[in-house]
Amino acid sequence: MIKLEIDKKEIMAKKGETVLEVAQRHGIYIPTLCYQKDLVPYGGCRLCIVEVKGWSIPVASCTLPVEDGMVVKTDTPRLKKLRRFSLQLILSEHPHACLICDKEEECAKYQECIEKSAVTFGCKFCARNGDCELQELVEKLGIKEIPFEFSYRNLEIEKFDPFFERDYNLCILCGRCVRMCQEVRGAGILDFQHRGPETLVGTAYNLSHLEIGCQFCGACVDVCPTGALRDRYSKWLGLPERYVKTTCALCNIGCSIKINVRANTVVSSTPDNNQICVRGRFGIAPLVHHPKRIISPMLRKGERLVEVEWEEAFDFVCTKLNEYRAKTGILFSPQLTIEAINSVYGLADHLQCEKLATTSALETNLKPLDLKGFRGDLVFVIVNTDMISDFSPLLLKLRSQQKIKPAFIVIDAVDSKLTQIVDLWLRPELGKEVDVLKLLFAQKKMKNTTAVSTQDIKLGKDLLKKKNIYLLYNPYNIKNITVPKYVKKIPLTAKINALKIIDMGVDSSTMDLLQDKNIDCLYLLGTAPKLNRKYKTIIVQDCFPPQVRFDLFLPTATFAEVNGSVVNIEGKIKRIRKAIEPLGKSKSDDWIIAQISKRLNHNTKNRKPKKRKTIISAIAKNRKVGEKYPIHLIVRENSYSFRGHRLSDLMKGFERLRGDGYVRVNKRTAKKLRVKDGAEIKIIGRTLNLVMPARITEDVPENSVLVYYHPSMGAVNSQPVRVECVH
Amino acid sequence: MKKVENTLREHRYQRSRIIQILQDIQVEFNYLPKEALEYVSQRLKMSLSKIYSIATFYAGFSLNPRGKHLCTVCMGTACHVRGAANVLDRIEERLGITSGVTTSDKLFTLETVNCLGACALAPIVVIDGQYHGQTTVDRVDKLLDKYYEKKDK
Repeated sequence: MIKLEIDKKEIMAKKGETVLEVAQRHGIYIPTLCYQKDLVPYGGCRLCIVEVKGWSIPVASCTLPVEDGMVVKTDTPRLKKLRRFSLQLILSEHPHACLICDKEEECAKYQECIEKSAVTFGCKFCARNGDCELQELVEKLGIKEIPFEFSYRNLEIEKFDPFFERDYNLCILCGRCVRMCQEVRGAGILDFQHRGPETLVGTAYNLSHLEIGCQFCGACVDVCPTGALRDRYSKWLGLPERYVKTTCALCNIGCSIKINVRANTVVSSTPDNNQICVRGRFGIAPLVHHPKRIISPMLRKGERLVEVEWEEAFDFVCTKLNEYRAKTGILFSPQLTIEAINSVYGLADHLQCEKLATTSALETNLKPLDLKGFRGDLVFVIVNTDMISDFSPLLLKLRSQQKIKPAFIVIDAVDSKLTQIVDLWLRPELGKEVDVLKLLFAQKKMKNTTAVSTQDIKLGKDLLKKKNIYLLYNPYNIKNITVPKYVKKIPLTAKINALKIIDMGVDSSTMDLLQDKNIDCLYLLGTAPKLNRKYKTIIVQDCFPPQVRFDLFLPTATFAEVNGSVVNIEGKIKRIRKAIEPLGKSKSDDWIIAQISKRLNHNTKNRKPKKRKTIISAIAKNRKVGEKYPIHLIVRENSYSFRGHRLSDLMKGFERLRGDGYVRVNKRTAKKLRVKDGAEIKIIGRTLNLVMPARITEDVPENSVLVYYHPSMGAVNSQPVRVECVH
Repeated sequence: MKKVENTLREHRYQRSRIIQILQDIQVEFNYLPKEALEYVSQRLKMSLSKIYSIATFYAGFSLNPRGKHLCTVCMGTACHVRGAANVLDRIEERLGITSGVTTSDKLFTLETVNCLGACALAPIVVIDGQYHGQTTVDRVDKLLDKYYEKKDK
């Protein structure tokens, strides 16, 4: 322990701590600007300067390690003067007219709408007005004037990327975004470019963030102290009045998030002292307030859809369910709350329905992921799973929370951002991923039939030596994995509540359910698959209009509007808290089902739903490409979806980032088949007929096309196909 | 790209040697081609923005193709006092370009520096690493003519 004195207070500190950290812990205020918790101190803004007894000049406290017997003063007239001077210099490059205007209060009263201007010349024009660290500091340091000439950079506002905009005229070069992107996210999209007065934060060659491969996690936006980086959706919605701590249910990681609310509107969702991904950061607010949402029950009367009251809707449901009872097929999305899933099972029991299925990709040996269980010298082998797009918060934890830097090996025929950052990328031919695994773990010499060079296999074997090996894979994307016992298999299912559903069991797979001829009535809870035949009645319970023709639509609330819980990949029960009241007439899933159960005279209380035997669809045979079907179709799970709706169909930003509605075609193959970028193509297989627009890329291997699964495709798995242009 | 790969191998693919690697690439290509930087980024698993940041920070690196001969005029205090501005004017006039630009025939790139540390020889003009001290406006033509003559041969 180290003893030091700060502002005449005796304070104990640990070795290696900085003076700033110790002072903050003891409630001593030192102004900061470039300092950000969790980032390596930078010492750029010089606002945190302190005086140390015996030292002739003030020093920045954020980079000053504590020493025994140090006597520190944080608030002297000299420091105040210097800090003010530093901030004035910083402000001379930041539009500061409003900051030092003496009519500020009157202005706020009379000029409410002025802020919706295109260019920010002062705080009144800025989206971050009232939530700005510069404003706070100006007030705290008592700055009334800026004695320097104001220099405006006159740069164009960068609006061409999805999700957030950048106005570097407001940037004060604190470097928080740069350090966040490099140190914490490990992405390195942003850096300082050029030198001296021309220094700017930006990307290489001024490429757009999309071009340079940004994943839009939004961590840079959240650390920006000014309005230089701002969330496009929430920009003019006003400052949030309160926030609700809840869980993001868009994928199986279930990150803790804060939903920021103003009146009954979700303004934005931000991380809760953790790292999240683009879905949780930018996907939730536009999803909740999406213009396509249906917020009133709709009943088909003749050919017309009519808005009805809940009573009428319930009457219809109860009549139909009473009529068909066991002949009802229930298909539910895993993205419901646990409480809703329980009541679905309860209802199915009451109806004696033996046809309950979910759209989640399951595996029977699913176990909770123990993040603390990773010990020692680790190597992660990742098969056919793009962890950067799908599980980035998890990947960050795997990368950063270990004492010894773990090694990563990727086995995947498809290129992704992940392959560029890992230690070794083995790119086999399609369908030979399992063979590569065999080669990696083989004791004896084996014949190498994959496209991976023997040298690379040897490199892989060297990496695996004497290490704890973990195999990470998405069970949807790769099947039939066999590895030696000392390798721990960790299936990463993309949809939340997978562990819950495995525990409860399901009666059949989605495909089997839809092929069952005995079903007359379909009850679809938040997922709309492609239907092969007609049903007597189809009831849909969802937030968005489904792609099937339905008889009754029951509008449900999203996870931002309900209370409940979900279970994530680690097996943790995470709370879902109501941030806003359900929109319109929409209600929570469990309320709707409870009402139906009540009307069916089913007592839901104190009754445990019966367990069902989990049946997972049979694995399709690995067929080889031939003359008739010369192209490989790769089907990957789409983890960018909500209740079976693609986020890229609902939001323009996701459409640009992901484009899940497109089929990826290899560049050379496209040239051979004369497929143009954006043109519609037909994908024809033995039992398959898809029409989708093409996107040409070099990520997928030659002679192959890749689609992200969507329920509207029906039964589709990786298989040989024929590709034709639609003219 | 083979040349870049060789350079990287010489430096044992070490990220900490990025400045030397960029210097070697510049010697090889006379500037830093975009493709080369992308290749380095991929091989060293280092972000392209970071490399670009380094390349734009140091005045010694050029991201645009440069001429066959590099003409550097010192604009340090001593050189300035002894008439470097006039010398620069004359050179700009003769080459028909301003400082920082390459002539259209790709023969000369003109640059200015702030001090070469040889103030006793002021004003200094450096062409391809060869120092020409006490340059006067009258001597500029003669100096440049040599390179034009070489080209004609």
